Amino acid sequence: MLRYVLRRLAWMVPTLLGITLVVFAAVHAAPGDAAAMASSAEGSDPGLDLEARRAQFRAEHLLDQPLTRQYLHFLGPFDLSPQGHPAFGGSGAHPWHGLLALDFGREFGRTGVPVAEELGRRLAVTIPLALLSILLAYGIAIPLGILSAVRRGSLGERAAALSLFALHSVPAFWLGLMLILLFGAAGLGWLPVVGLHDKDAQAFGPVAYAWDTVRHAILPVATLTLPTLAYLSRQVKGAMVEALESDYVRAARAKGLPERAVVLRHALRNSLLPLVTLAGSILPALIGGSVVVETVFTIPGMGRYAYEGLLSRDLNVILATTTLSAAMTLAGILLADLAYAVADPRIRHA
Amino acid sequence: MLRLRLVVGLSLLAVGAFAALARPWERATARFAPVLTAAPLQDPGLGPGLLPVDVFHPERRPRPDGTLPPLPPPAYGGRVIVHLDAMPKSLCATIDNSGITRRILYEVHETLLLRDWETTEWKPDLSLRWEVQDRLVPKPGAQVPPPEFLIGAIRDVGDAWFVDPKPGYVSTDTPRIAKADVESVERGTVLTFHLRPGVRWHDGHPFDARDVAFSCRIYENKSVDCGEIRQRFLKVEKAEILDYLTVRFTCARQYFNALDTLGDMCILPAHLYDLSDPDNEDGNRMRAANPGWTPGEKEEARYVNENPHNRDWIGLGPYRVAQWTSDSVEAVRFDGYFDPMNAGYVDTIRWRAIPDSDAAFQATLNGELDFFPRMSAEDYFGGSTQVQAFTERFYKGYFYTPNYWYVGWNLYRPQLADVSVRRALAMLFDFEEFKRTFYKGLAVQVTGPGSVYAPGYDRNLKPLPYDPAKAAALLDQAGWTDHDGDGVRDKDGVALEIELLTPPNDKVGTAFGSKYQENLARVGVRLRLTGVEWAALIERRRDRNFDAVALGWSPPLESDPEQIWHSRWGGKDQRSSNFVGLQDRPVDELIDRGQRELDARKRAGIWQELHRRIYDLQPYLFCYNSPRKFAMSRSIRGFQIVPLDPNYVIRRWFYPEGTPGTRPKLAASAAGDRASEKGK
Repeated sequence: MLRYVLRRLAWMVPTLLGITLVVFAAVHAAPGDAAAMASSAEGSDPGLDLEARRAQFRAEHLLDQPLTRQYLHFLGPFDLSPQGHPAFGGSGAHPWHGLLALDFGREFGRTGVPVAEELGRRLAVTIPLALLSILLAYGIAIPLGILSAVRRGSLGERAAALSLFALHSVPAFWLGLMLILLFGAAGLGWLPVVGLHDKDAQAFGPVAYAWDTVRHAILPVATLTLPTLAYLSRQVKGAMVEALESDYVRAARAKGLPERAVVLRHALRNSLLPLVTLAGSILPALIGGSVVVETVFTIPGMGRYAYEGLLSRDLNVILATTTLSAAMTLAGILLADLAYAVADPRIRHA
Repeated sequence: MLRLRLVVGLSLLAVGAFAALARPWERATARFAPVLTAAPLQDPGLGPGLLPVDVFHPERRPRPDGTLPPLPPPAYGGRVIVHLDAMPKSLCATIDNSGITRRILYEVHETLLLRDWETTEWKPDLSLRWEVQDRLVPKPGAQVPPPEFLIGAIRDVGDAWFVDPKPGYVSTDTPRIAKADVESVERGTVLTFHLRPGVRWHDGHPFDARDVAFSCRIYENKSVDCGEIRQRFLKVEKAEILDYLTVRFTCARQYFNALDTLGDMCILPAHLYDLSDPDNEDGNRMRAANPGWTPGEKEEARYVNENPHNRDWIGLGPYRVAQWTSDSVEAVRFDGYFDPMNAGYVDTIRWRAIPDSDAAFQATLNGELDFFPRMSAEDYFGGSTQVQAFTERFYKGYFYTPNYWYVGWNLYRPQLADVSVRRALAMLFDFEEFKRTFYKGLAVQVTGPGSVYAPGYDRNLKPLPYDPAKAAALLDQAGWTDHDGDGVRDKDGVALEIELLTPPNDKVGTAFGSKYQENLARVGVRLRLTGVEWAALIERRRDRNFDAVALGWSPPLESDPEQIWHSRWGGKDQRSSNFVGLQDRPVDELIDRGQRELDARKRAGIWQELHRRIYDLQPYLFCYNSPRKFAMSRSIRGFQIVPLDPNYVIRRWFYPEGTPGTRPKLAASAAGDRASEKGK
């Protein structure tokens, strides 16, 4: 088992490097100039010299350097800027930088803000939302899938299938907007629709603060959960239907076991195996989905950070968020594989 | 049980779908309903600043006899939450001179001079008085008195210049310099500011001349991330500290914008930003460790660029920054503010960033914002502002800003190089229809560059009329006819086809483009609309890789037109704000003349002449200025529209007396009741 884990971990390194290389190439191939974005004069005084500022900006952020040097600077651990490591011609003021030094530099826009620190703050918002969403999705999808499989063909099952199919098909941003219109002040007025805290939240006691956070999180979590829930429950239903028609279930029924025991003890256990695999891809999918949800609900999480970075062509933010997402995806897949290997010994010996 | 849940679930889904459909339906019906034209509450010709306080507030509607109900007596205290489009990158305007940063600094900081909100004239602020003097530049090697004697009011006395250091107090020692010894007389290039005593920074440190001189010198350090604004300060040659509270600046050459540049400069606390300042703790620590240490240019720049106070701002204004979260900045009253008469009524101001305007409107309805100045025309005129959640707590209104929208033509494109073509294109813009359908009557057409309220804007100029027949005739005369019968005019093998770039998700640009496309097609001009992502749009514009681009400018009351219109910046390989590539000698001459003219009235005349010349050349299709539509909490009073950015003054807002959480007096320790002070 240990060898299996080590082998998988060793494979993650080149995969992650490959991903960073692809992202780096894609970001540089995309149209748009980070320097032009950073010193855009739109909406400001038209009588200002922009080009000199842009040249300075490129020099500061190594954007006038060859792509290989820029990539190595991103990869680290040596800082290749003029303030960087003395071995590479820098002043030595800031010798370490890059992925290997866990330093993604500073934001292009807010000069003094380190990307890694801001990313940490943003993840503290995104990860709990994503985990809560996973918990809810599994918690609802499994019983829903079982019921759909057991009562397949009935009117209720067909209606559920239709609505789940619809939920799975609707884009997250549309679903979010609909929930805002329905539950926000313009509709029923039941729930807050912007941010994660009330304007007076700082004055609340711990219980009121927690309740306020829960109220604010309901719609974003629902937007994240509903499409995932629909997908998962379809998977559970499929696996359950297959299991319920298998020989061992027929044998269990023939033994005279009660239907409840047949379904929960025999069919369900075997049907859950595919869900373990799915778990690996759901967390990264939710992190990706947070881009939309956090933008719609104005939540300052990692998704919105990535989106803002993309709009402003902040290469440090884009590379940091994509690398982190890639790392989480790989970690998720690894965990799922390990869980699968634990559940099915044939895997680790293959 | 499952069935019941499904029924409930499906019902909720159906209600959601209905709610979703209701809005488009409402919008669709609004289009066919009689056009709701806004009452002309504000004459755009007059500009803002001339309207009464709370002009849109339901409780300030004129009585039958035409008089306005009085304002309620103000109370002190309370909080206002104001919308921002985005979070500021920094609160240090030296580094980030964006509109968002400035908007916050208006309340948490002060400048040497302050423009009067109504009259727009400069008035004292951190500087109690100031002098603007001339400077005589001697020829190299000329025998003249020391430089100190060459500054003052310089008068022409025949074959010599007469330098009067204190106008009105002529002394016999006043030097007369022979004209043969003089290279030039630079008018208005020496500016001396006498600072207000007893002013303290938010951390309690005294404010003095070192802060002011340092704040100007910082622009000389090329590694400081000051952005585009550096160019203005490079015109300042010298910043001298004459005494503890007197600073003198000397500009290299005569420049009309010198007083604006210095009067509006962002003052930095030298004890927190200048490593060489004797009160700077970091600098002192370094010197203690290494007695011979002096900071290098890069080190100084890094200290400024990455200074934590760029966010945790220490300023001089009536409010100090108390908290900065990922989507808001909060400022609270600063008790040590030097001018309690101007200290504001509310105790707390929170700026909350919600980039998406639909989400921001929802937040307003939820009571998360007190002031939201970015309402769409759909929300403003639609049913969204009729719901109880809005009408109970808010009222709506609008104000004109200096913004204007335009389509910039790339003059390097053969189909757009001819001024007749550009004039014809201008005559195909049906502004009246666009104003009626898209803006419901709330927009004014502009005829040239600059703020429509600026003295340099010639308001007598009439927009080119919408006249397709005349436009077609102009194109015919210019030789653009449909030679190959494909329905599109052409000349010398070039089709009159234009690609119009619009920013992403730009509803206005798309609506304008679609309508304009139809009008152009009727006379055989093909317009292709391309929505381009913002970064790509800026890149294409910079590289002059475009035919036409629909954008907007937000100019200050008076700005230097050089970068945007001068030939110096219009060359094919130049990258500047003159991206259309205008190169015209009369335009250049007017700009050069205006830049040296110090008399504001004469300069306004020059800028008006420039306006007329640009109008003749039509390098832009000058479109319109549409007002900003806002939602404001009914509880907050004292809202006045002023002509200067951001067009409102938060420190004049107040809650009426008796509002819970407020008090009748500013504070026991401060200047006392403002009303009683005023009455004295």
